[in-house]
Parts: sequence; C-alpha cells; structure tokens
Amino acid sequence: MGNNQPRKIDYDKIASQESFKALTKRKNAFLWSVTVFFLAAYMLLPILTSYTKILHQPAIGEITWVWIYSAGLFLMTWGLAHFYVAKANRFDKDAKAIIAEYEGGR
Amino acid sequence: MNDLSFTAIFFFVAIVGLTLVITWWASKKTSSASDFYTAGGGLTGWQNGLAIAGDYLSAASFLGIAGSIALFGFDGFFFSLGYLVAYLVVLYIVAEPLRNLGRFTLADMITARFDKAKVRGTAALSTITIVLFYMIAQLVGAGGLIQLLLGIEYWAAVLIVGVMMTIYVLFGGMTATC
Repeated sequence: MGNNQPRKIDYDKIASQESFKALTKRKNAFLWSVTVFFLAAYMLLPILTSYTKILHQPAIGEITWVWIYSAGLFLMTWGLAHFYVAKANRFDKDAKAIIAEYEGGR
Repeated sequence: MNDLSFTAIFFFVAIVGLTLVITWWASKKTSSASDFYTAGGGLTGWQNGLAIAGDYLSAASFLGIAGSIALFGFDGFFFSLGYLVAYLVVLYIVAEPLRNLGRFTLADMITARFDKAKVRGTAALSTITIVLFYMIAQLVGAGGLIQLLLGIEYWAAVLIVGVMMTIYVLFGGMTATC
C-alpha cells in the first residue's frame, strides 16, 4: 500500500511525463472545483441567515427553510465523500499506469 | 458531596477495565509503525468510519452540541455544520495528496520528499501546537465529568484522564483506540 521502499525514485523524470501532467491537471481541476462548491454552499448559510430573511420562511408546516438547507448540507457531505471515493479509485488506476510507464522507461 | 452513585462507579470501573483489556490485547498485535498508526491497514473502511462516527456522536454531538443548542438555540446547532463540512476539507485538501503515499502523519509525508531533520522538527512542532489547544479543552471537559462522577478533586480527575489516555494510545495505538 505504500511507495516507501528505500529505492531511488527519479521524481523529476516522472514529473516531466506527459501522462503525469495530464493526471495532475485533471485531479486538481476536480479537487478545486468540488472544494469551491462545498465551501460556497457552506458559507452561504450564515450569510443568508445573518443578512437576509429568505430562510426564515416556513417550508413545511412550522419547519423553516433553514432546516432544509442544513439537512441539505449533511446530504452534500455524505454525497461528496462517496463521490471522492469513486473518483479516487479511478485516479488510482491512472497513477498505476504512470508508474508502469516510468518503470518501463528507465 | 452526597453519596456517590454505586451504579455509576461500577460502570465506570467496568468500562475502564474493558478498555484496558482491549489495549493490552492490541499492544500484543501492534509491532510496526504501520500497525501503530493505522492498525496495519487492517481496519476496514466500515470500522474506521464507525469509529469516527462514534466520536462525532458521543463527545461532539451528544455533549457539546446538545448543550449549545440548549443554551443558544439554532446558533448552537450551527457549530455542528462547521465540523461537518470540515470533514470534506480534510478529505479533499489534506488527505487526498497523501493517498497511497504509505506515510501516516503530516510530518512523515513532508520528510518523504524533503529529507532534512529541521523540516521534520518544524512539522512535529506545528502538530504539537495544534494538538495542545484541543487537548486542553478535552481534558478540562473530561476532568470536570470525572469530578462530578466520582466526587474527587478536579486536579486528580484531570490527572487520571490524562494518564489513562496516555496508556491507551501508547500501548494500544490505533488498534486499541478504534
């Protein structure tokens, strides 16, 4: 499960591989877009509750919208965690291919 | 102090004893750094997740959030959203780059690439600083709890909790604490 064998790994060589650059680009795009999304969703709640009254309206009976928003945040967290696991397993396969390419080349 | 509840003390001692037995059993199984930090990778995702959920449910939610909602209403509930989304921050920003690295702490991960002693020392120092803050809060809370439960002096309660925690972690590692 780890690359912590004490052998010499030429990191620069791997970093210059085209497939590696493509993978990091895809990965960073994924990570940052999801991060911006959930941070925005999370920050929106205190902004809405502090400066506007949108969430004060009752939605179902006595329950106001703010509770539904909060429940939505819970669902979002669980969903994004599962999403990460699925995506990361796919990235793992790409990473293995890159390592194989590096080891085949040297 | 009125008479101490016998049931409370009995259960307290029983649970502490049970956890000590688990720690002793776990210390037999722990023999490498991998074992110590992540139970040798032998913890399934479900086990790990249940352990984290247990932490969330018991200490954070049951004691903290229940209390703050009682005192502050919705404002108290708001805190729980904070550390909920914090899980995602840890997942996407902190843990993701360390995936498949085979190193377990932030300090190890930095020294995997930069092999200088000073870097490792700085990373360890920053970890200790952060941990100090929330450890103090936890010890205060747990000490107060033990003091109420057993009716002993506050400083003794904090001392007992601190020593117990040290024993658990030192001898059991992740296997015992999970």
